[in-house]
Amino acid sequence: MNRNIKDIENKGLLKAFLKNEYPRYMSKNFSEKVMTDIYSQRTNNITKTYLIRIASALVFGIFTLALMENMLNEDIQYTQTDINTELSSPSHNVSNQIEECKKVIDKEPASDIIECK
Amino acid sequence: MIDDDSEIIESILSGDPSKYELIIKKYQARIIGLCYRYTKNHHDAEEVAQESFLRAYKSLDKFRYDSKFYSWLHRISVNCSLNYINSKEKLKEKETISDNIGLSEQEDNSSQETPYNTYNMEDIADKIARLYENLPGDLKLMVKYRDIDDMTYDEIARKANLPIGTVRSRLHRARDILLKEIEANTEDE
Repeated sequence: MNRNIKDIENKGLLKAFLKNEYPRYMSKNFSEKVMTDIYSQRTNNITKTYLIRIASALVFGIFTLALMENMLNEDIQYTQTDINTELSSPSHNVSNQIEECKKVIDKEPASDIIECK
Repeated sequence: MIDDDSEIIESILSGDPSKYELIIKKYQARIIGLCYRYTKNHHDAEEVAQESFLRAYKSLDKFRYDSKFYSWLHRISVNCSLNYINSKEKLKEKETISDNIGLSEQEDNSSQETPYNTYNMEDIADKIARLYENLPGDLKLMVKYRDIDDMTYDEIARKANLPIGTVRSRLHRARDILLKEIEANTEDE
């Protein structure tokens, strides 16, 4: 065991004996048990931190993708039928009657009505 | 040797958790002793002490140097011990009387055990007490002032009307005698 650690341990024991603050029994490997606990918790914390970071990145990515997808598809509504591109022509003859209409100019300045016969 | 706790704490906070072992080694006996006064059981005392050291480690960055580190650790240990007592009392409420009798018999048996991996502290304490009593008066006084009354070297020098160097050398000689005895009783097998 490291000399420095052993010296500190012995001084601690001496103080406990002189102050009458010692337990009846004490495990020889008490400090090792505590240090093992500390190291395992440290490892767990590091793992947790990495997992949280990865999860956050994933959630952010998925959310961003969903948002972009939603924005691009917005207001575009597709029909399930094909678009008919054929031009339709009138089925009967029509005449332009606009020439038979006389222009009625009213005394009222704002009205400009075309009246047909 | 690093005697100053603040130095150790600084190095732990700067990213060297292995230094915390020095803190544990320094105070383990007193903290387990404190917890034992509450738990009255060797095994539980160590568990509560372990919890105390863990809590102290986790909140080490909250330690303000306005008090001694041991006083801070002592407070944490008292809180942990009180939590232990409360949880045990709650557990007892749920247990039947016959279960209680069984448990207390078990505790008595476990406390009489001296497993090979534990120090019998009472045995060592007896040897230290005898050695301390037989120390020359001037050395014994230095140990009393410094290790029992927690006086500083300056205070001892003023009280004993001695130069600080004499105080240091007398204390060193006295501790040397006592530490040799501890070392002989706690050597790794």
